[in-house]
Amino acid sequence: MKKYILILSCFFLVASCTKRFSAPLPDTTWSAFDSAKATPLISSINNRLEGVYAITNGNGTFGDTAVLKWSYTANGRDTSFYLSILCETEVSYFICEAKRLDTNIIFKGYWRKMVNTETGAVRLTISRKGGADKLLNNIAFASTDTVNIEGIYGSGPLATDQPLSLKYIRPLYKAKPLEIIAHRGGGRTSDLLPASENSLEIIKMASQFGATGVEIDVRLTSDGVPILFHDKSLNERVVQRSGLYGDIDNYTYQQLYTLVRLIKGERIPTLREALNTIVYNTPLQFVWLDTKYSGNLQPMRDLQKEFTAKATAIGRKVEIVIGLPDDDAVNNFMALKDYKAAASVCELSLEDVERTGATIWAPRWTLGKQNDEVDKVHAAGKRAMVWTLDVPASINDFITQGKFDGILSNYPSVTAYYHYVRQ
Amino acid sequence: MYGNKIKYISLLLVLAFATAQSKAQRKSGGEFMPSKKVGKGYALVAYASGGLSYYVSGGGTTTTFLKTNVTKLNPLTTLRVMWHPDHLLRLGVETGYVTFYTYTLQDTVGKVSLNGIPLLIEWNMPVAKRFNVFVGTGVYFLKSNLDYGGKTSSSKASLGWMAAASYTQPLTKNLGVAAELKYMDASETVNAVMGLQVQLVWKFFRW
Amino acid sequence: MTKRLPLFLLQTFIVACSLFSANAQQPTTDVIPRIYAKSVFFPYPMEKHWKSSIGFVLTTMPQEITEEQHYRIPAIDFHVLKKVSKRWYIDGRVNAQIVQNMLSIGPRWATPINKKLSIAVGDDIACWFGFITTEGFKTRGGGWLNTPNISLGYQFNNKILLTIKGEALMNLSFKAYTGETPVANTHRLFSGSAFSIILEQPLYSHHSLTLGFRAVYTDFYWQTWALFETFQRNIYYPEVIVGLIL
Repeated sequence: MKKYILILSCFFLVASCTKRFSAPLPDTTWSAFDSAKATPLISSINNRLEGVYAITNGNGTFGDTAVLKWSYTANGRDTSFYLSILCETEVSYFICEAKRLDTNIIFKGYWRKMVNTETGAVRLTISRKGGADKLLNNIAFASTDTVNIEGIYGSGPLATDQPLSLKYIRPLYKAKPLEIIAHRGGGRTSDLLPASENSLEIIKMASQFGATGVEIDVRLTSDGVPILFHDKSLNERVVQRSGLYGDIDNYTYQQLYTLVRLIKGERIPTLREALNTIVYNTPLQFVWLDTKYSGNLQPMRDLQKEFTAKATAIGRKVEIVIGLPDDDAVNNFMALKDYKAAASVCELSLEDVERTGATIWAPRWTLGKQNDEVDKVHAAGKRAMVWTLDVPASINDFITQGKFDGILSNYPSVTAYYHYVRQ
Repeated sequence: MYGNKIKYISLLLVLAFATAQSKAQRKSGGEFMPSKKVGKGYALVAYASGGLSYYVSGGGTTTTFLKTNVTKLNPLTTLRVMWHPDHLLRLGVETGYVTFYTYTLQDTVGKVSLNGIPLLIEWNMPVAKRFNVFVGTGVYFLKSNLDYGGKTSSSKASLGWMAAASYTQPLTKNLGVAAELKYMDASETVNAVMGLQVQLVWKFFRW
Repeated sequence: MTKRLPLFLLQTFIVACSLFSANAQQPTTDVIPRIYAKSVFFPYPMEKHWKSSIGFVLTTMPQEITEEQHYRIPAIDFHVLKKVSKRWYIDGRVNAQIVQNMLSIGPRWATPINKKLSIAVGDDIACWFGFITTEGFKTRGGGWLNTPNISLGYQFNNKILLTIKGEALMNLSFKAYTGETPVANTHRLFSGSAFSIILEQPLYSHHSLTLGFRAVYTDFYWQTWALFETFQRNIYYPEVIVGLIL
C-alpha cells in the first residue's frame, strides 16, 4: 500500500512544480532588415506615421485599435529611433526599429504583453502603395489616402508567421496634454522588462513604452551620494546575490559600486548619472524624484537646479520635481533655503501643497478621481497627478472621467493608448 | 527553484515521519532514553550541538561579476529545547549561529561573511530505536559583515525552515550524546546549509 | 485561464484512477471501520457530531508582489467539522488576521476505500474581506472564492494519518472600495490550484496535532488584495498549517 502513497506523493510533486517567470526578448533577426540594402530612415517621416490605427489582422491577440508613436534614444551624434505600437489588450505593445528597403519601409522588433509573459518577434512593411512612396518622398497625403502596414508576428520561440495588419484611421489626441509617467524609471523589475527598475537602461527605454516622464526613487548612501534604489534594503527582489543584505544607507557608494549589481546586471546608478541620461539621451520631459530617504534634501535640490539648467542649455525643457511623500520629506524640503523656488510634487493634503508651495499635487489613486479637489488645484495654478495606477480599466476611467494632468503607472503603454485614442 | 526543493524535502520528511514512525509507534523501543513515567510523563530535553556546515543553496553565493574566493565550509552551533509529552510527537524551539558562507575579493582587499541566527519552532519524532527526525519553521536573522572600504554590518530577517535526523547514544538515564545531520534553509532569501554536528542531549526536567 | 480547470480535473482523474485500480477491495458500504485518531483534514466519515481544531496558517508572500509591504503575519486558523450523515459532513474554516479575514464552508463526502485508504470530495465556498486605512481613507475589499477539492487519506496505523489534498481555485468575485468609490473589480474565474500534504497525530494527552504544507499557485491570493496586483501569473505561495485538534 505504501508504494501507492509514494506514487501519489510523486504526483503531488509533479503537480507542484514552481515556475520561475521570465519574458526574454525574442530573436528578431530578419535578413532583409539586416542587409546592406536596408538604409536608415530620415526622421522627418516619423511624425507623419504617428496616429491611431485599426488592427485588421491580429486583432484577436492585440485588440481592434493601436496607437503608433515614435521615440528615440540619443547616443552622442548617433540617434536610434523606435516605433512603438501601443495596444489595449492585456497591456500589449510593440517596439520596432525602422529602415528603408527599396521603395518600402520595413520594421523589425518584438511585442510583449505586460500582464503576463507572452512575447514574440514582429516584422512589418509599408509598401509603396501602402503609403511608403509618399512618406519617403515627403509628398502630402490626399484626404483619401491612408497608410497600410502589413506584416507577421510570432509567439515566443514559434515561427513568425501570424498575419498582422494596421490601417491608419486618425491622428493622435492632442487637445489636452497628459503627463504619462513611467514608474521606477520605466517599470518594475517584477514586470520582467529587459532592464532592471531604476537603472539607466530602463530609463532609456521609458519613452519606447509611451512615457513622457519618469518617476525614479532616490536614496542616499552612507557617504551622502544620491542613488536610484526603491527598497530600503538590499534584497533578492532587486539585486543579484552578493551576500549583502540590510539597509542600503549602511553602505558607501564605493561598496555598492564594487559589490552590488541590479537584477539584470546593471550598477546602481547615481542620481547624477540618471539625470544626465534623461537630459542627453532621451526625449523625456518630466522627472519625479521620489524622496525615499529622511535627511537633507540639498543634494537633490542641487542636482535639480544643475540639470534643469543643462536641459535649457541644449534647448530642451525637462521639468524635474522633488517628491514629498510624507511629513518628514516636507520638513526637510522646507528646511531648504530656496524651497519656494524648487519645483516639487506633494503627495499629502491640499493644505500641505499650499504650505510647501508645491507645483503639483499627487494623491494616491485609491482615493478616487477627486474632480472637485483637482479643480481647486487647477484654480490655484497648479497641476495634479495621480499615482500609481496600474488597473487598465481604472486608467481609462481616470483619463476619460477624471481631470488629472498626469498619471504615474507601471503600464505607461496602456496609459498612452487610452490617452491618444481619445477623440 | 528553491520552492521545489522545499517541497521535495518536506515531503520526504513527512513520509519519513509517517512510515518509519508507524513502526516505532507500535513499540516503545523508539523512545530516546525511556524512563519510568513520572507524573504526567512529560519532560524537557536540551540539545547542545556543534559541528560544521556546508553551503548548499541552489541560489549560489555571488554572481559572476564578482571574482571571489568563497568558503562554504563553516562552523555551525545550535541549541534546542524540546518538550517530550506522553506521545511520540515532540515540540520545541531551536536557535544557534550559522555561517552560511564567507568570501574574499580576488582583485582587491575585501571580505564578506553572511551569518544567521535561527529562531525556529520544531517538531520531532523518534522513527526507530535512538533515531529521531526533526522539522522546524521560523525566522533566520541574517547578518552581513562587509570589510571593504570600511567595515559595515547589516541585518535582515528571512523566513525559513530546517530538517534534521539524529542518532543518540544514551550515556546515563538523563544524558546522551548524538550525531545529527541537519539541513537549515533561510528559504525566503534562498540561503541553505547542510550540517553535521555532535550533540549533547540532556533530559533536564520531568513532571 | 480556462485551460486550468481541465488540467485540474485531469490530475484529479489520474489520482483517482491510480487509487481505485491499485486497490481491488471495494469500499464497505454498510460498516465503516472505526478510526481512533483525531483529525480535521483526514478524509474519513465522522463518528462524532462535531470536531474542531485551532492553530495558525503561516504564508510567506512573494516579494515580486508585496515588495516593501512584505509581511509575515500568521492567520489564526479555526477549523470545525459537523457530521451530517454517515458519509457526509460540513467543513468550515475561519482564517483571521483581524484586518483581513476569510470564512469558508463546504460539504464533504468521505468514504474508506479499504482498511488503510480513504477519500473525500468536496466543494468549499469562501468569503473574504479586509480593511485598510490610508491617509484617513478607508479602503475595503471583499470577494468570494470557490474551491472544489479532493482529499486522499492513508492511515499508517491508528494514530498516524496522512492526507494529500488537491484544490482548484476559482475566484468568483473581487471588489474593493475607497469610501464608497469602487477601485477594483477585475478577476479571473480559474485563478489557480493548491496541493497540500498534511500529517495528523497525537501530541499530548487527548490532543492531536495537525502539521501541513500547502502549495498554492494562483494569480490572486486573497491576503494580497490591497496591493491591486495585475499579473496574470500563477505565483507560488507556500503555507505552513499548524493546528491543535481539540
